[in-house]
Amino acid sequence: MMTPLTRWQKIFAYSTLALVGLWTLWGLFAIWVLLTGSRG
Amino acid sequence: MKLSNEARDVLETSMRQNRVSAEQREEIEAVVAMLPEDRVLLYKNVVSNPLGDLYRYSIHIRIQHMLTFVTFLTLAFTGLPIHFFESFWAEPFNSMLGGVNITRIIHRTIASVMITSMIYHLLTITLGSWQRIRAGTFDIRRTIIPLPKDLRDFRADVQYFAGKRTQRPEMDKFNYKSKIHYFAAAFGNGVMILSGSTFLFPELWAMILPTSMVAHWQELMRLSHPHEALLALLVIAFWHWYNVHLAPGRFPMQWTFLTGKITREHQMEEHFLEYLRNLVEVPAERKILQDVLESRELVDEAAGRKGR
Repeated sequence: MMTPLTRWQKIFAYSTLALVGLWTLWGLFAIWVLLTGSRG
Repeated sequence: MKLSNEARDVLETSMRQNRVSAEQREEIEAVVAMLPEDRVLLYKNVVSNPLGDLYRYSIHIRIQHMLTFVTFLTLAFTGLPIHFFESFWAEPFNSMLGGVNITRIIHRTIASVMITSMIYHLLTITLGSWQRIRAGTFDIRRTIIPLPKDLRDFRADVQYFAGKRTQRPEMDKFNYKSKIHYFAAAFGNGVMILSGSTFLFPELWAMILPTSMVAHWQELMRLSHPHEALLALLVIAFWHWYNVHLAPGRFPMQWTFLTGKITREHQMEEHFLEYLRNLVEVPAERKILQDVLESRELVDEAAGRKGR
């Protein structure tokens, strides 16, 4: 069992997770572009 | 707990390498004997600090991870609008940075940081191993080098996830998953450096290769660079980030890349052999474990398991 995170640790961890989520969305866009796009 | 032959060998090697006294050996054996046969009960009942309890990565490895992580994201982010520079969505992005030529300069500069980080990493692992060999504390099982045991662990872990085994295999500091991940990243870096250098120094490659191969090589590298990037994006977004952010026990974030430490629970579950070494190397850990094992009955209510 884990000891609970402090308020700031939670803010940091969830912000990191949110960034990861955003970057994954961008990654999905990149994957779509790479698989479907033609250059130019 | 009666240790398996592999675990016993790891423990004996560690005690020998750390030159433990007879008294310490007795203490270690006593605490190992107290361990329950069911390791699930053990890691479900220990208290862990999410920021990490036990040493895992040196400051050098953490810096290298940070460099790789920042350069990877930036390279992927700048590489896409370079590759599709005439697309409607790429033009505003390139304009924001000052034009596609500036995006290219940023991309190449960041790439040189990534290559430097790779060299730094190779130096760290080579010198670190050399130091341990000289000190007589090197153990190949504790390195990222793939061994036949990894195949056995992979098979056993699949059986566990398929419900055919009650416990995960006793894995080492780097398990089969870490090794696949590591070598996939190393291979990816190699492909990206090779193909990137072909775009940057075509004349050099034309000098090195036989004339009949030059055009094919360029074509191959032009295909490899974006497709390896695609593969890396998939691996990072859907495998690595699952493992370090979303997997049970890690949510919302695994802190190891910052603190260099792993939680006790995680070490026991996925790196049990390394945990045995921790019992040898960290006397305080023996005390913590002993207190847990003596103070309460081990239970896993979710799975309906009970133990000593």
